[in-house]
Amino acid sequence: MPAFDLREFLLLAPEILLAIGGLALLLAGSVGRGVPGRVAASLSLFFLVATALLVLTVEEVGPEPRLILGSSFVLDGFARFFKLVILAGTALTVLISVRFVDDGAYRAGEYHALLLLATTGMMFMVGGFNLVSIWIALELMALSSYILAGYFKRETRSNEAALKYFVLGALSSAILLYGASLLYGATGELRLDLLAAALPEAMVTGRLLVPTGWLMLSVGLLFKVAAVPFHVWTPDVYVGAPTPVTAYLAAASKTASFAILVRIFVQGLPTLLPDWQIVIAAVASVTMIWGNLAALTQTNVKRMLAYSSIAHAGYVLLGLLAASVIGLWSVAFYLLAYTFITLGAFAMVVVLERREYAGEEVSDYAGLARRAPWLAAAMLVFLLALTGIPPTGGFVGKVYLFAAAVEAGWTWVAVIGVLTSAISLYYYFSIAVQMYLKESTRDTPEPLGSPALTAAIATCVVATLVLGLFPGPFIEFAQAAGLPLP
Amino acid sequence: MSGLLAAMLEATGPTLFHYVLVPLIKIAIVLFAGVLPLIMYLVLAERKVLGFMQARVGPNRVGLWGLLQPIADVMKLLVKEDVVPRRAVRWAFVLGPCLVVAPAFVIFSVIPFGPPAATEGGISWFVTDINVALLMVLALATLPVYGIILGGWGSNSKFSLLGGLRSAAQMISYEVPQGFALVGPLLLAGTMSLVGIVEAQRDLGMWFIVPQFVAFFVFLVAGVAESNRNPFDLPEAESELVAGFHTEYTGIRFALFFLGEYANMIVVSSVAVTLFLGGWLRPFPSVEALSFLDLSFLPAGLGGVVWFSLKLFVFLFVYIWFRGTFPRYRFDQLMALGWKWMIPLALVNLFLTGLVKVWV
Amino acid sequence: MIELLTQHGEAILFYAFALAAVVSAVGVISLRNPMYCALSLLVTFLAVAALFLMRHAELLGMVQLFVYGGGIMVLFLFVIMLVNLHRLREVRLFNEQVPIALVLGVLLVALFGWVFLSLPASAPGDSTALVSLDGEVVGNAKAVAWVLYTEYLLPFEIASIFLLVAMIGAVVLGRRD
Repeated sequence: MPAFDLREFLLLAPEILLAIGGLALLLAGSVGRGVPGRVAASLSLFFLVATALLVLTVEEVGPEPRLILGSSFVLDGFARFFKLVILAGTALTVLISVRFVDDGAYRAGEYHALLLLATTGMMFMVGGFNLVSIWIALELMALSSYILAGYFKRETRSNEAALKYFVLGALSSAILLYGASLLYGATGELRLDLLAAALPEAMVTGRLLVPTGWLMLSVGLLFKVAAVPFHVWTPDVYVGAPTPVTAYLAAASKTASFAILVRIFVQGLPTLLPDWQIVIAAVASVTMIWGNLAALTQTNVKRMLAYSSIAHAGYVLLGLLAASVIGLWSVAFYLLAYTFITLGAFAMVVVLERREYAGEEVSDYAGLARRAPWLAAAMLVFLLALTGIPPTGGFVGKVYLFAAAVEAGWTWVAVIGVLTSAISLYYYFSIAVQMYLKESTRDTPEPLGSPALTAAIATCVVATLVLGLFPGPFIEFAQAAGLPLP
Repeated sequence: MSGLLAAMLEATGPTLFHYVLVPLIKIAIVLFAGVLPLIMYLVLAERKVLGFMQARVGPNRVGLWGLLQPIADVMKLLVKEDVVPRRAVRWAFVLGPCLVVAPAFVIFSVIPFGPPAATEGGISWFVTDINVALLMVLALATLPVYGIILGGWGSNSKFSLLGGLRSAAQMISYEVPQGFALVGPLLLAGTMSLVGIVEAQRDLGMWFIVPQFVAFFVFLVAGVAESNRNPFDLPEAESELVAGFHTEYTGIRFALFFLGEYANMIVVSSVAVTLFLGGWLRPFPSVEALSFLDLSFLPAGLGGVVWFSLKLFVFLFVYIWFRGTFPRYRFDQLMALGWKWMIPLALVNLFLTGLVKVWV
Repeated sequence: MIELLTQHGEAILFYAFALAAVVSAVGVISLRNPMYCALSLLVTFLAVAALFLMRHAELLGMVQLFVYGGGIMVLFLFVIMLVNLHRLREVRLFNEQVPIALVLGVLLVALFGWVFLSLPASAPGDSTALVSLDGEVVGNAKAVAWVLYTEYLLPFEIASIFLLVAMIGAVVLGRRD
């Protein structure tokens, strides 16, 4: 019987506080006509900041990972790093949601509550050390995301997004769970470290159970990070969902999913490393190729960013593929940078977007440099970062990811990464061309900023540039998030 | 008798004998000697008691005091024409009544009508004692609603359909407080075996109705609602829905619905007796001076069975009393009562019980 | 006959319930009347509950019966009866992807058949783990409760938030405003 100490709940105070925050917002939203958008947003920002402070103070992270609550959760540098990244991503999402939710006259209290509860799920996910606790947290995140994707319930596209996301997401969760159950059947263990220890023997006695199990597990996880060929839901969901939600899915949700992908593969399935490296190499290559090729033909910015987000999943997989110290921390660093970059880019979409999804076309950016030079400059920074051009965080992250892959002997995959990055220049810069070289017409939407949006965009720009110019401390921070390698 | 059993043991081998034949015999006894006659005379008792409450005589023509009336009723129902409406969904129409009766009968297999065997090889007054009996009672008690839904839907009549719908809503709503109410005694006893729960009341020295009065009250109300009896008999409200889900039924199929309703009454009463009224225990089980009430002069724990039956009859009388007294609730009142009063009440009780259990 | 029953009784029951579960699961997706689909699903749940019972997971079996059989399916039927779903009869159940789906489905069945056949034939595993705690037999309910409320207490609580979110989502998306 594993040791169980109720006091260990205190070590998870941040997550619990965030859940309480979500519930408080729900309660507030049920009073009268609901809370005004600004109040709800301020409250959730308050809870997010308080949670982040608690993560930094309460969760003691020693040199050794600490298993708590009957080993279903773990406190380590990895979890802490990703919790902070997710909290940052959520806070930025809250900032860019303010005007959007108010404009649509949708209830703000429930929106922010769902956002906070989804984030709670993510934090439990990255701290999970047991297939069951990871899965249930993943489901909490996923279910909240389905609802958020359909939050604009009077818009058909939002309905479509929610329905597609829900059906496919539920299917992928089922596959994931089935895979986990097969692994459990073969080994009798759910805890990642015990699972890893039991695998060598189980591969003999369990025959085909183990390969089938981990393959199904990977299918579920790769679906969540939107890797090809499990990406088909991404474009429709990203386009249909309210843009702040899309940003949230692309940044925080993807980060959390990558965190558990890495943790399960590295800590749970180290015995199978040569096997899953082949799968990851194949998936990473097709993801980078297809994501970038499909993005080339898009004229809708949200859809283009959706394919770009697929392509970026491919780049991040390179770090996991390397399965080395540098590979793992470059994954962490890249996801940190990517959170700011992608949230910034989507914030720009929000600035130009109108009701009924107007203002999403590439041509709507025409002449933006003349009308709003600062916004255009900010967008340029994000586009540079997405392509991976210095002096941005995107560049530093990509360099380390490619270097890790090369160092681990996966040069051909890294080459694909470099080539596809070059391709991506074309479609990213079609937006830049519109902004700087084209003239606006009368139909071009005016940029509609708000203090919260400006703050979000400014934060993202600064973060992207700082990560590119002074990556040192952040790399150290990411290095502290390493997992013990097999 | 014992010679016959020995011969059967010889013929079938111990496994089959102990796990199949003995339970089968017990089930047959419980059903054909216990429950079915009880139901027949419960109907008569209901008519008599209602008659008394309404200053009438009640059935008095067939046999002495009308005692043969149930037999005449059964004969009548058996020989009546069995009508299946032309556009009915036949299998659902046929299956519905059976589904109402069968789960109720299965539940009797875990009800302890009397104490377990005092000596090895003695008589235990129950078919079986399983460690999830309480959960099984709850689970099976929810299944009759399928019979009602199927019958109501399959009849292809709007009265039936509405009756079925109401019934489904009502049973789901009251399942929740009923379940929560049962958790109170469960917490105090620390076991889900019904025999274990009665024994826990013996060890505690009092019936669970004393510490769990709130739970008992909630269970009583929910139990009445679950068995679709007055004042919660909306699924068959005559003034609005003709006869509700069994509007289209005749003859033996109608009799089965009828049988199911009374069987469920007996089930709910038996469970209440077991959980809250000490099952086969005498009143004040801790008071030594009253030990003559144990009726220990009766052989093989039969005294316990007598007590159980007495309590059961009291309960059944209360059911009839309700029917003679209360007006029917309106549907929204019924829902409000269930969700806004019963569930919170049961939850508060559960919370307090938990606190007491932890700190006392 | 008696020998067959006593020696292979468990296997016979297992295959009977397993067959019922599979056949009714196919019924869920292939029948046209939503009422029949829901009832097929009910049969699946009941058969699975029986399988749990056979493996001495009494608590799980009863909860399956209680929650899925008694609660969820009644609500399904309730909704189906309330909402006029007769239009479903004219709608095509499957679209153009049938051939691909069939091929993939057959492949999946073959894969799992292969996985199953690759396993060494063995008697059903020991089920004492399901009913014991620290080596002492306490019954399935207690054993499950112990694990659920110690090692899995927090996941259990997360599940409750999960259900709350599901409820909120249904209200938020379903409400007219």
